[in-house]
Amino acid sequence: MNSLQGLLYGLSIAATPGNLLAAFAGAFAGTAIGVLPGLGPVAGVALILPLTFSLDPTAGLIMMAGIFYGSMYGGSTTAILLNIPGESASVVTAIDGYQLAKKGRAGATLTIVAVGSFVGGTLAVIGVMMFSSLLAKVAILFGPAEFFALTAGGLIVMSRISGGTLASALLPMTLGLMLGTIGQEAVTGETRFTFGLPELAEGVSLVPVVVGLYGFAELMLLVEDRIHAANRPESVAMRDLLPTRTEWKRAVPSWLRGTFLGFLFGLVPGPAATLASFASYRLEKATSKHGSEIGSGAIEGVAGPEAANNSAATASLVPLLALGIPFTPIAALMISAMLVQGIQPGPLLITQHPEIFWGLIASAYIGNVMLLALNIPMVGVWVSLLRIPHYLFIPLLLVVSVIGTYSVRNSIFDVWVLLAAGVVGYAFNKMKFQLAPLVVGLILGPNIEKHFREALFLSQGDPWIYVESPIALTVWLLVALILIAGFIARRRAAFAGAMAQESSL
Amino acid sequence: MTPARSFGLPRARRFAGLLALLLAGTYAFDAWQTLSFGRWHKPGAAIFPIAVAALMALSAISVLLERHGGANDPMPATFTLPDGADLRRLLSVLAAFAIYFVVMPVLGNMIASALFLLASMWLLSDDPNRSIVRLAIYAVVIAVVFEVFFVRLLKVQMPAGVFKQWLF
Repeated sequence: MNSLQGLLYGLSIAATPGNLLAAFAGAFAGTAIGVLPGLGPVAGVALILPLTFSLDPTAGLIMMAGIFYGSMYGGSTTAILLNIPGESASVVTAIDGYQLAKKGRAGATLTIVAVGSFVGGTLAVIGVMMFSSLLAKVAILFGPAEFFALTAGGLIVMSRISGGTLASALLPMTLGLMLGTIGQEAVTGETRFTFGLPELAEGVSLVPVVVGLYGFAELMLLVEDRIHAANRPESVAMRDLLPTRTEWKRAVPSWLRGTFLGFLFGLVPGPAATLASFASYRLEKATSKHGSEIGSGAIEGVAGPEAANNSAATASLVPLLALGIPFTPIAALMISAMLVQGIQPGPLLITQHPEIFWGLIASAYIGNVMLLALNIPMVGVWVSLLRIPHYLFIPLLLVVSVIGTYSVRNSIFDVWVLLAAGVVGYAFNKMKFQLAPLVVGLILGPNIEKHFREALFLSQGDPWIYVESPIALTVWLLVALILIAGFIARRRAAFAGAMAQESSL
Repeated sequence: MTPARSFGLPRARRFAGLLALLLAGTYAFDAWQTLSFGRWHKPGAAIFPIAVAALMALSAISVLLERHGGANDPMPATFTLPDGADLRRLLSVLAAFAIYFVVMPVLGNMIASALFLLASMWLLSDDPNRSIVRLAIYAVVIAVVFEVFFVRLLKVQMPAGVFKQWLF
């Protein structure tokens, strides 16, 4: 089946009433989650994960993807109207978006953002379609050494490009690896670090950790934050939603630049959507004809980053679909959903479960159209969601988080894990440690160990196996290249900063 | 302004680094004592945890040795934690949350959720004239809607509690 045939097959799967309903429910819930401050895309997907177990696997994954895209769309609404980014990838949108809203252009900016997200998401799906099927063909040749290089190398890259200092990512990542060693290990079945607790024999479940770190911890920050709780957005009238001809003209090149840049970032392990939006903002400043206006309310400052973050979010599906390796917390949750449903993610997914592979890709097209239809005409509904008082929605979301967590393994112990992860997430947020490396470490840790040990078994203890094959060697060289490029970029930035400081004295 | 207390971020991170170092030591010791090492061609269950412990020690040391306060330091010098009434409110919500799932197996999901919703709405509302009756109605309606949607419709398994035969 070539890509076009695959897409047509996927459309026939995604357009069934059940899957359309799943896509709509996911897009709707995702937009609401993105709009409400406190719950970002990761917590939103984590909360919905247990509910997808009662659906068929394709519908469940389509719903999760809908939540993911929807929350990326919705996150920008609060950024523009209240200067509060709904999720980290919308931080940049808040800079110019809020300035534009103060100039009375909130409605037009919301339209530019929604169309930009649609453009970024839709064009990136074409890339995902082509890259994933190509990469899946290559990945069939992978053995333990190649998978070890990809998972361990990906984790190393992620720890270095997650933002902040090296230690800010390395410490949480190692904590995630440690949590991943709890329970029965995959190679010989030996039980580790359970301290006599039967609940730990199956290991630490991903859902309570993610909901705790991303949901509970964020809600605790909202509990202590009274200043933002007092903010109420103004209404946006339908007639204000239409951008001027000049605004459309200025947005188009920024959307295209952002989409291309975002797709490249999506292929690299790490917080792709956030990094892509920041990179796009810098690119717009450097290349746009109106670069000097960016920062004080320029349409390019929202159009580029929004297209970039949606494109990156979509592109991050490539390693998930082609290799079965999750480099983001959301991809980890999607893998977890597949495993629970008895589906083995990886290069064979495209041949063994074409309905999931192509159905998910086709649903992204449909989901993006739905999101466009949901976001522009219904902006008033989303704005009114922001008027729900904190004392109502915080307890409501806490109850949903408990129901979602408990239902995965019917375990109160998991709810205690949620509370503990929430406290750790709150402390890490305050102390500027990164959260994503912890989650990815937890999900990739057991895989890294399995591939590491299997490779040694196969080679009878010869460590050269890790770099012997051309694929493994190429992956390690790419990892080294990314690390060296990152090091040089940081040195140059530090040097430029020091020079600027010296010249200002 | 929201009452808040400022703390030095470098000091807090060093404390976190120290805890991580302690964790690395304890974890490595436990792996060393209880797990098999195997042979080079047949590595045992202890190898990976020992490597992770070494990595944790390394990351803890890198946190302890971080230099702060330079012109290029991306981190702020301080962070704030709530104080006074806000701290009490945060801790009360946390306590209510913990009590919620302690009593859930006994009272069942619906009753425990309604009680938690009422308690946390009361704690979080800033309105001095808030009505307990109105909040109780909200709490009961939300708890019943959740029970119908999640437990009855989506078949999510939740504890039914001792009042199971009287409800639904």
